[in-house]
Amino acid sequence: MSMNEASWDRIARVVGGALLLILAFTAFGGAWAVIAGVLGGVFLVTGLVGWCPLYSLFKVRTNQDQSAAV
Amino acid sequence: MPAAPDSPHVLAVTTRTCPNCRAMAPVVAAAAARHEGEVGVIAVDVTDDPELARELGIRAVPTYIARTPGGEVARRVGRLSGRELDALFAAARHEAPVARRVSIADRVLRLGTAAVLVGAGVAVSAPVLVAIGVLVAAFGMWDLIPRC
Repeated sequence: MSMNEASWDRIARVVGGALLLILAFTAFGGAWAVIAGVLGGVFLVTGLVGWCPLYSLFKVRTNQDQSAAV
Repeated sequence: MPAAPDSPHVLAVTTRTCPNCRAMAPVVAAAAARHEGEVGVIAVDVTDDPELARELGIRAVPTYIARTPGGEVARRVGRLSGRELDALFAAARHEAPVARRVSIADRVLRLGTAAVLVGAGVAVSAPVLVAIGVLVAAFGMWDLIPRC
C-alpha cells in the first residue's frame, strides 16, 4: 500500500492520537475513555504507517508526491 | 505487458498528466546515466492503458519497478531522491530487494511519540500506555534489528 498522507497529516495524526490516548487514561472516564482510546489508537496507527483506509476508500490523498494512476 | 528483456532494468511507469512524473524525469535520466551499461530503463506510459496499469499492479504514479530476467525484485512509488533511485538500480543489478530503512524524520517522530507515551504511562501508572509506547518505539527501530 502506498502512503497517501502528507507529512503534516501524519504528524497531526500521531500527535493527536497520542494526546487522545493519554487523555483516555487520565482525564476521561466510562464511554468517553473508550471512544478517546479507540480514536487515539486509530489516529496513531494511521499516522505512523502513513496510510489511511478511509482516504483509500474515497480516493483522497494529502501526499502530493504521488498521483493516482487510473 | 512489456516483454522482459534479458538484462536487469528499471521499469518507469508514468502518466502524461502526472506532475510528479515530469519532475522525476531528469532524476531518472541522471540515474540511468550513472548505471549505463549495467541496468537499463524502460519507460511505460499508462495514461491510455489502464489494463496494463492493473496488470503491473500500479495504483499510483510514478512507480519504479526493478526487474531482472527472474522477475520483479523491488518497487518504489512517488518522488524519489537520486540515492533512492540508485538503490533501486542496485537491486536490479544484484537481484536483491531494496533494504527498506526508516527515514530519520520517521524515526524521530516514532521515538518521540514513544517517549511521550512511556513517560505519560509511567507518570499516571498506566501500563497499557507504557506498552503502547514500547510498541511504537519498536516500530521506529525495526530496520535496525538484525535478522537471524
